[in-house]
Amino acid sequence: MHCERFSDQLEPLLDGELPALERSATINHVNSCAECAHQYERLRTLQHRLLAARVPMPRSLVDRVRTRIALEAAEQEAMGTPVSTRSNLSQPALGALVRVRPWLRQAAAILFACGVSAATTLSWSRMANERDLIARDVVSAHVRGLLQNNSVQVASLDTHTVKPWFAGRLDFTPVVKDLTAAGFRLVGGRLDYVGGQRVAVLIYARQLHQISVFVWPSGQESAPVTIAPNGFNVVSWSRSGMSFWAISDLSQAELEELTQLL
Amino acid sequence: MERHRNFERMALPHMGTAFNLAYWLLRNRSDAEDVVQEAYLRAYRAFDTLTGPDIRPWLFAIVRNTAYRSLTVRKRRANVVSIEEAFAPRDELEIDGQEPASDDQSAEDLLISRSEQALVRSALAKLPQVFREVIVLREWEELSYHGIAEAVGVPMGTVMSRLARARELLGKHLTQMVSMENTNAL
Repeated sequence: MHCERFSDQLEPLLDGELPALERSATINHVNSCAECAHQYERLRTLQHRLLAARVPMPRSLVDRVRTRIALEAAEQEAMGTPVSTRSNLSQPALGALVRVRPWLRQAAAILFACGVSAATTLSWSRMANERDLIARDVVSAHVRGLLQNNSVQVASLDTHTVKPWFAGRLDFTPVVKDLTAAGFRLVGGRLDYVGGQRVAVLIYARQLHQISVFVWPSGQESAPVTIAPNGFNVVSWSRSGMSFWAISDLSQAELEELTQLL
Repeated sequence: MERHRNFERMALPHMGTAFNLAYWLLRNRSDAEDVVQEAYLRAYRAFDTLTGPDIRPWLFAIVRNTAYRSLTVRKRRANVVSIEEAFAPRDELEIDGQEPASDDQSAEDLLISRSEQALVRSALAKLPQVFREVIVLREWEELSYHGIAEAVGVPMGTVMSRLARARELLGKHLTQMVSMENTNAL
């Protein structure tokens, strides 16, 4: 017997770490040597028994981690853009100022400062147009809903419970549809504050994904537009006097199904 | 956006093992949850530094570092402990007590008798931390020796010897405990 040669190979064999050639030699040996076969069996039993020690993870942990990361992503997004545009502007202009006379330099500096502030204001207002502001509100309201375990103030699968609940709280009545047949389960509704007004939020669920649909009255009609801020998909449209903003971590295609249904 | 989604796709499936790694280093559920949260956030921030197709060694290295850091903090905070407390097995009650409430018990889990579970867990708890972590990574994540070496930051030979020693000790503890139970029964 060459047990010394093979005894160190038993564990790598068990762990699937032996190269093919050594593997067959070791298996042959185990098959012919009672002692090594016994030892191998012991290792295998231990491996199997160890599975019992695995500790189940609390299911809520996944949600908590996802929310933390979503917030982090949103924060990075928010901090990233304005800082970089501002620093790019000032560099070449400052170099040119050094060579002119002092008073001229001062005047130029003042003018330049005015120019920069005007440009920043302009670019800011362009960036922060209404849609972006609403998108930001919608994302934070959705994330806030995910963060708190009770994202709904009225929890019901029944459209006839959810719709009247809004009636006393808003000066408009959102359309609340039962979309169970299409795979969107109604979870409930709540009020939130988006774009400077009180809005209705309908919460639907598809499998484990939560979808928030923000609804408020609007004058214009508009076709669905999809954006993807901070890893969420957001689709917005206006129809029959109402603006809809739907947000979720669902795929874009699944979310766009909603635009047909609501 | 793309980055956020990629990270979730690659990292979230390994959270069960990340939690076990943290748990078996800290022996406390809520500390392990905190460690997993912090480690995942750190991993997300450092996601750009990940090279190679397998996220696991990199991810578990972060979980492990976070867990060890939390241990140091805990030790510093709790350096006034009675001798009885220091030598009492940690959280033994917590593990057993929480079992019925655990929310994802599979049918397989239910087949394993409670006493077997307690037995194997206390045998694992008796091992030094450096042995426990290789057991978690090898037995439940089926990470290769190479992957474990990367996660733990030691050469592959060390991984193999730790694994061998860990299994030897586990076997010994389990036989001892069984024979003790038998003596008690008599």
